[in-house]
Amino acid sequence: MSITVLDLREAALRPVDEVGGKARSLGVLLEAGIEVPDGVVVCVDAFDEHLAEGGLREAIAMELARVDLAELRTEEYWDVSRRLRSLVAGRPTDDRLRTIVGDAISGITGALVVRSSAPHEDGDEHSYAGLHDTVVGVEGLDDVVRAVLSVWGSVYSERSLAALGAAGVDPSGLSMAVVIQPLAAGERSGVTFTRGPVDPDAGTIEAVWGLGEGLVSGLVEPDRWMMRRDGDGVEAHAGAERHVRFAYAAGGAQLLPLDTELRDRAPLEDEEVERVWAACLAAEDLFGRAQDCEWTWVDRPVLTQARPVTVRRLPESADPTPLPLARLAELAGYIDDELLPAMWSEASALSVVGLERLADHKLVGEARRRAEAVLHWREVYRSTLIPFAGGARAFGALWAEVMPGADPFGFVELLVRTGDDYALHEQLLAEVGLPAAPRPVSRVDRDAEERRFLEAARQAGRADAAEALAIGRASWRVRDDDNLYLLRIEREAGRALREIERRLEADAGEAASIAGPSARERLQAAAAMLRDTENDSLDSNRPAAPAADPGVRARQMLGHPAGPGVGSGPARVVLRAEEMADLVSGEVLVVDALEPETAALAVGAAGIVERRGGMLVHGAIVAREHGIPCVTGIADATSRIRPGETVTVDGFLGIVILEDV
Amino acid sequence: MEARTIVEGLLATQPLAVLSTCGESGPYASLIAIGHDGAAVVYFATSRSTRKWANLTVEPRVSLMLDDRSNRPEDFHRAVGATAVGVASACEGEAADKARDALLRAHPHLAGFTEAPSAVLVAVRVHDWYVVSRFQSVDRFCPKGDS
Repeated sequence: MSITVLDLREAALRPVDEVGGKARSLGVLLEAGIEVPDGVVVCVDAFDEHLAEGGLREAIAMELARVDLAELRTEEYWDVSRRLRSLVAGRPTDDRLRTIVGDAISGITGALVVRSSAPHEDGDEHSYAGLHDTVVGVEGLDDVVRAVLSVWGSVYSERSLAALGAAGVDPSGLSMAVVIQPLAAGERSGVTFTRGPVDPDAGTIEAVWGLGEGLVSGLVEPDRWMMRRDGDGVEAHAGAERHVRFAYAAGGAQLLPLDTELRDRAPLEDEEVERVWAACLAAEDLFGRAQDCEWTWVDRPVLTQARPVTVRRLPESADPTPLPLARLAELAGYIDDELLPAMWSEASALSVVGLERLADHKLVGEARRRAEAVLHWREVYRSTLIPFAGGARAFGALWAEVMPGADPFGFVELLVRTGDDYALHEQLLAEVGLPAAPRPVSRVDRDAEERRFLEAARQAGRADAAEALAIGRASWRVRDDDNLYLLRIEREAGRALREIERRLEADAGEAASIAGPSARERLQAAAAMLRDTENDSLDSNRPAAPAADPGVRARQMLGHPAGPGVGSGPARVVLRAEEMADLVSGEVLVVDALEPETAALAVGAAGIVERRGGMLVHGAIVAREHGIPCVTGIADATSRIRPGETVTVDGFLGIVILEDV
Repeated sequence: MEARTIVEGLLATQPLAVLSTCGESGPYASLIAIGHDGAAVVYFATSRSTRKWANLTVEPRVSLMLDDRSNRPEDFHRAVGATAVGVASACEGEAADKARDALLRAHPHLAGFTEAPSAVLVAVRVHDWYVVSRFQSVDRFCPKGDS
């Protein structure tokens, strides 16, 4: 097979199947004389060649066949993506690629940007913008080759898998070309839509100080201009609160405070707005349809990308990509300094109320207060604490990037809590009245592993490695503990429910104490509200098991290998958290979703099988910390495995065998 | 066509074979991915939790079936099949490396599977091949040469 690298101008004449949509449109813009950073494209054949080597394409298809992409939880996309990306990046590139790319970029000076150019991107109605990676600020051939591998791997990015899964497209046949250009890092950047979604006679320009990453990631609020398409120019300008900007620094884009004198200035002058608009309309004329253009200002507007406006951006709620480090760092401080202390003090305040001594109407008020507190904190949990769990994944992504070929989940060893940090967790468990597990066993020399990682990151020019590790650890800790904070508040709601039930029951008997039927009704309504709150738990969207064919039984089930080792024993099928206490040492724990509050009880199990998939669910974490064989992602595990039957868990291969079938 | 040529042709073109084992609950057929070392040794890998592995630990004598059928009527005059009869044993140390190399030459995507500690590489030493062609023509071919 061949490996082809072309100038972008040549890419203008080639089919999208060979060069990808982005390379082709950049080539067309260049040929038309529109300002674009000139560069080269590593064609799709090089990617196909890489995947043909060593049966990589089939290995990827086999890995994808383990899961139903349309059924995954947001977090599982990351897991599957990690495995696939590590397969792609773990195989060294062909020596010819290095030579050909080296020759092709020898004329380009300064830092480079390496972008995806996928044949399937920016094309049909299933495509979304920004599914694949762009590596900014690449210097030297080693880095370029590493970046090419990383962009190739991003054909299976979590965002891409989520979008394709939703569209029912099988990603195993996809390919990817890669564009290499000089970095055009203007002091102002933005995005232009030449036609608006609502008003077909208007378009918009959004601009920020610094790099466009700020705008695309949503971390920097843009100035916005409404533009008339009939030639009248600016219709309206909405200024932004300008505080921060992204700047290029060694290792990539960094979020920095904006210079004070720039905070009162719009990123574009009036005349510059017109020039950006004209450049983007020229792109629209060229392609014959409205365009979504990314641009940066380097003495004049330079387009870095143009695609049809029909290409959608993935909605935030469906985007499994971890938040950027800068945002996670902000969250870390907020969670530790404000959120968790507020949750703790709210639970403490509720716990000192002597419910038994309250009059009925006051108890009803307390019930409402508690139900509201539970709903409020669950919402905070969903909107802030769950996204912060992305800190562990963001660290995992960096780990995989700088240590290609290593175990893609080896990063977990650096996050697991030890020493004083674990003691804090034990203290919290004790305060909540939950059993503590034996301390995690580390299978590696953590300090040496940390040094190895930091050194690899230094060589890869990732100056943010230490920060990413610190955020990863904070994220891991919060993930361990946040449920316990929430549990304290939920228990306070439960305490009010029990008190109401006690009174209603007593009243129904001999010793009538409730003052009249209306008071009784109010207590009953309060009890119903508390029960609703209890039932609306966080994991209530569990899929129902399909009706089983009585003639069919699983013999061997395929899931994710999540804890190495092989273990056998009678199945302990746990349907409710309180049944965890029944688990006997040597049994195989079969559970839908292991709750962090009772995860410690799993430590004696011969194996763990969990319905939820992934390496970062609690079953997988406990398994990994204590050396228990574990397989996750077994659909309907608790209904397909019967209590007491002999089960073998193969945590190397990710299979579960029902020995008696 | 000569029986030896048919066997060598099938080994070169068929990545999969059907393995028959026999255990306490009777005979059992499994579809397996194969590698080979000439016509005398056929390799495959399995996890130690499978029924075929449990059967092999009880009865190491096995039979293998390779064929080039296309599931069309002309198979009856065109297709060839070869049934191997031999003895299976687990490969350890250098023998396992050799088995893995042979298997991965045909199935490079199975690298992860063969490296899992719970997987085992198995060599089937074939003492006879029974080669079927033209529906009812059957020859015996002994890869060691003493037929």
